[in-house]
Amino acid sequence: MKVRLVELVAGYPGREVLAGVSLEFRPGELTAVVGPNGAGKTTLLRAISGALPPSAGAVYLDGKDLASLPPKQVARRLAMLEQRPQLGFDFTVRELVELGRLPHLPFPERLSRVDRQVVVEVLAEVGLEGLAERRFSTLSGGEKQRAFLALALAQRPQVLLLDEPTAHLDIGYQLELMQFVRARAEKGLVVVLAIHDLNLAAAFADRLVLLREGRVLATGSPAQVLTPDLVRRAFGVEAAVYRCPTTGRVYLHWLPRRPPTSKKEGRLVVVGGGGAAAEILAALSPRFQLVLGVVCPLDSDYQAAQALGVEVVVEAPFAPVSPRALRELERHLKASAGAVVAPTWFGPGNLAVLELVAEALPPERIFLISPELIRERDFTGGTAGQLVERLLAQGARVLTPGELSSSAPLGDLSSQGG
Amino acid sequence: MKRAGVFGLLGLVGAGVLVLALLLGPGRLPAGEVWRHLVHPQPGASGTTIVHGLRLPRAVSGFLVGAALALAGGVMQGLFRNPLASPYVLGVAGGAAAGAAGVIALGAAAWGIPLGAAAGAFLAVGLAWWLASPTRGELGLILVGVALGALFSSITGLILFFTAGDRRFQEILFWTMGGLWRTSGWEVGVLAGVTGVGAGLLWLWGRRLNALALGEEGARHLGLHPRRLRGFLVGVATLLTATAVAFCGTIGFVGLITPHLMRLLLGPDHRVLLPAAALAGGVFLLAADTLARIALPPLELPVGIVTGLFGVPFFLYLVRRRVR
Repeated sequence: MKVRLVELVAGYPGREVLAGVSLEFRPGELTAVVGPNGAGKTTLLRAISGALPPSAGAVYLDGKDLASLPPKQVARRLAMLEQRPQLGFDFTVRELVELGRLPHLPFPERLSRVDRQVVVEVLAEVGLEGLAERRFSTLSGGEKQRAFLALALAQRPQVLLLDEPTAHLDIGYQLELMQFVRARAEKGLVVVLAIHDLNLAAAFADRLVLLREGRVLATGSPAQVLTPDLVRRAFGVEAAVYRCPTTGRVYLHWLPRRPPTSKKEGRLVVVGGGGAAAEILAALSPRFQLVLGVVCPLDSDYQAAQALGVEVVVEAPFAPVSPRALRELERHLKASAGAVVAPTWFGPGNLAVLELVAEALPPERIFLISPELIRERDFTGGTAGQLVERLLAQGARVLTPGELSSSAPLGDLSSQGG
Repeated sequence: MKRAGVFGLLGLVGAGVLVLALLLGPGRLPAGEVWRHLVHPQPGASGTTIVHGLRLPRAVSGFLVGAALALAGGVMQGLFRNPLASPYVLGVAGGAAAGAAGVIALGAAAWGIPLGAAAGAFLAVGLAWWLASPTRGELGLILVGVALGALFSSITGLILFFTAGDRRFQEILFWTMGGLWRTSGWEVGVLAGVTGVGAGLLWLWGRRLNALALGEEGARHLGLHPRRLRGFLVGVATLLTATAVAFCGTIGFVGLITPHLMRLLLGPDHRVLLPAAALAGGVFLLAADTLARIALPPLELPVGIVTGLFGVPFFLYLVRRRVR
């Protein structure tokens, strides 16, 4: 079963929430709909479920317009777990889950042996087989959630919609639920869930749909959607994106909100490597447009730059810095207001980078962070150390790591270059 | 097990109360005579008139009215997902009283009173449904119903005001207290027909009524038309209530307590709950009416007073036990 949304507009009287959404959901795919509060996640799910008729556009189930199908037909194909499902009376778990068979039964809805079997199966699937005769009110929060999930599964749907299914669950239940729906998707269901937790979404979803103000801001793999830029545009927060070395999936880490001036004050080249520049990048990236050079993709500074969305001049691992990389760095230096040299390790392979900085920029626009460390980390037989001494003598400035976050010493760069 | 026990107990108590209802009454008739006239009626004999013309139809109609009100109350509680809803929640009682009062005030024939009451009942519910239609969910309907009930009460009050000191004043007042003194053949027939059909329909629709517990959205996700379904069920409940009220006035608390009690005992599955409530409501009203007939001979209390006197303390006990 394929679900296709075409230019879907939907909302509530006097207030459209979805402003033209076109998407496609395929079997076997777990799609997570993310976005800030009020972006239209719940409205999107309600529109797909048919509970909210679209005011323009359409939802197609395998090419059939949802609005033209009788609700009972829809309920045989599609089930939805609401964010706050209601149960007006204290039914037993079995009585509740039996209601899920309603769409499949002719009037007056007497359960057949097959239907009873389905109920037993879904209760086992969600792990409530021992609690069938218990009253709903005696269940724990996680068990209640699973009872409603069993109700949806008893419909034996091909499309499963879940609105914030992990809200109010502890982390154990959250992971259990995500693994459960992930397994459902792998069995060929279309699974679409709205979720606030971006890391949970990134860890389990095949595809993310990022909504903002009723429109699709981005859609694609978690790595494509969860970029610092898109996260900032959608949520107004600063995020660093990492890739988990164990699972290969991306995850986010939150950074302090940057000052209200969204315009960058200027361009800076940061010379780093070996992790010496990571904190410098984090401190400067909110204010300056940064270029890190020259590092290899195995370098932890490279990963920090990726997480912060900082441009990098790259060299292959274990190779000396090539003329190509130097030319690229030179181009950046000429377009920059200055360069910040992190207390990194210099050896024969990357001495050329320091030499290039000294050549390309006037000394007063070069900032050395803890230069005494550079002398300690000198593997060039003293050449790098001498170069640092010379720069200091010519007027290069020294910054302590603490001074990076205050604007004063770097402030005069704002007006220059860039 | 529990179900069989509850139904069995209700059956036994019902049979016992029925025997008492036939044996007891102002016209003193020994048990043997009652039995003889019941099994071998002799037209014209006073014993046969008492048993077949008075006590039996009255007992049957008492049971039927109790069953109808309990069914309607059970449906209303299910629809509104509120165990404190009664058959009168949409203004049926107020509408019926105003209709009956109007007919009495205009001095129409006695057979016009049930018609006026039924018309008032349907008018009240129809108005509530129509006025609440722009609102979503059940809350709007319940609010409009309560408001209309108050409006119709005021109309009845106005009619009472203008008939004050009149014979009609007493008649209206007596009617509003509720009683089972109209018990002739065709009325029992109408009651039996409506109650039977209503009970059958509600049993068939029981599982859908269960699904309404999931709320408007939840029911829709199971492929139901919640609004249509609610309209149908309100219609059936109104038919049951209006018929009961048209013949017997507004008898309180049967329709509130019995479904509530049965839910506590048997759970909320309406396919079990509603038949049990019907049986319990019937037995309860039959017992209350028998008590009303024999408590202060030769006077006969309006049965609405008896259900209130015995029902309210019991109801309060239930509520307090539930809240704990």
